[in-house]
Order: sequence, then C-alpha cells, then structure tokens
Amino acid sequence: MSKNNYAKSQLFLMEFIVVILFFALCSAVCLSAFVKADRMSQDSSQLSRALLVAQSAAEKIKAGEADASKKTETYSEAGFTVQVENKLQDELLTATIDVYGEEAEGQPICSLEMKKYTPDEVAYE
Amino acid sequence: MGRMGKPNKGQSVQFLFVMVLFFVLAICALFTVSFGAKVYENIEARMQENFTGITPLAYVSNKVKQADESGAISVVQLENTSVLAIRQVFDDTVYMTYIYHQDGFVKELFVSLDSQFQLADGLPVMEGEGLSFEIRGDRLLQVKTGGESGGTLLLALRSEGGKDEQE
Repeated sequence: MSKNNYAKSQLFLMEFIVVILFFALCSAVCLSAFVKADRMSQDSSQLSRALLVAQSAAEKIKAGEADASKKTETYSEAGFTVQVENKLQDELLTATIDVYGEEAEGQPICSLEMKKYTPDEVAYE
Repeated sequence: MGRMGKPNKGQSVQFLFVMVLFFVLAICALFTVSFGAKVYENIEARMQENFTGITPLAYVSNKVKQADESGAISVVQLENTSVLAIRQVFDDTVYMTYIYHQDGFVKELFVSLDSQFQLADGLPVMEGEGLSFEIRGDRLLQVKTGGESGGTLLLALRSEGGKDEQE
C-alpha cells in the first residue's frame, strides 16, 4: 500500500512539473508579446511626432521661410534631429527631409520628400 | 492508526516541495497578469497622449487646407483667447468659422460675420489641453497644442495669413 502511495505522489509530482513547464512556456510567449506591444506603441508614438516635425519642415520650405540655398541643413526640434537635403534642378527644388532621434544615428525615423517650383527664388553659390 | 498514521519524513518533504511549486506557479501567474496590465496601461496612456496632442493639429490642418484662399485665414484675439478665423462667402454673405480652445475643449463656432454669438456658444469638437495659433512671417501658421503631450505644427498659407483682409 505504501509503495502504491509513493507511486501516486510521484505521478502527481510529474504532472505538476509538466503543468509548470507548460505555464512557463505560455508566460514566456505572453511576456514577449507584451514587450513587443509596448515597443510597437512607443515606436508608433515616436513616428507620429516625427511626422509632425517632418511636415512642419516641409511646410516651412513651401512657405519660403527655410533657407533653401543651403545644400544640407541640420537642426534640432522637439527632441528630434532634422536633416534637410536640398537639390535644385531646372528651377525645381527637391528637399529630402529625414527625421532622426536625438542622437541622429542609424536609420531615420521617417523620411519625406517634397518638391517646389522655385523660379528665381533659390540659387546655390 | 495503521494506514492513516503519521506521515513519514519523505512524504512531508514531498508535500512541502509541491506546495512551494504551487506557490511559485501562483506568484508567476500574478506577475504575468500584472505585467500585462501595466503594458496595457502604458499603451492606453500613450494612445490618449497621441489623441489629445496630435488629433487637434490634424483637425486644424484639414480645416485650413479646405478653406485656404486669399485672405481667408487669420489669427485673432477674441475674449482673450487665441482664435483661428476662417472666412468664407456663401450667397454674398460672409461667414466665419472660429476654432479655439475653451473650458478643456477644442471648440468650433460657425456664424455669419455680423452675428452676436460669443465664444461660449461654440460647439465642442474634442477634449484638449490647449490650442494656440500664431502667424509667423508672411505665410506660416503655427498651431500648438498644450499639455505634456502637446505638439507643434506649421502650415504654409496660400492666403498669406489674412493679409488681404487686413489691407
């Protein structure tokens, strides 16, 4: 009878360990999903803000308030680094606006290209 | 006592081990749930920040681009509030759309030019923590939302900031 009890408790223990392993696996998957969701939400929030900054930079060029005679311009705005590259060809100004994080390293968070017809408005030295 | 006698030492250790495992399982489950709740809370807060900071800017941007004609867009101070005024003409009558922030709401008031309505009569469009307007230079409208999550948007005006109207 004692042997029987021992076998039963061994079986219960094994079952319990399997349950815990299964739970550990599930919780690992859940935790990684949570972390991924949090990162995605952070990136999305950052992208929205970066797009606002890029749009503002484009509108500034459109309004003629930015110095389009410089080939490249870099400035900081709202915690982002904005890099504007101007190209002038046949009176058509093409500006590529890249918005980076504060350190201005790696890939830009967002990139925007705009074109503006500028007869007699911009001239490079 | 016979079979139901005192449990031996081995059984007690085993019982203790099972209980410890069960306790660890319960703690882990609790931790997972609370971590998930925290992440959800963060995402929700970020979504709310985005909504109050960015949606009013998108709304104003749309409104301005819809009505951007010569002399149509201007920024005025009414009742000590920074107000974006959009002028439109329908059947030879001049109508004004005023967009401003009052009592925690972004509001819109659409009235004919000679009406006696006040800013308090405007319709709330959405909740917001502040909205201010400024004309920069000749053709740049700066829209700013208030609060920690506030943002700034610049809009190039074709209407040159109500210049024609003022002249």
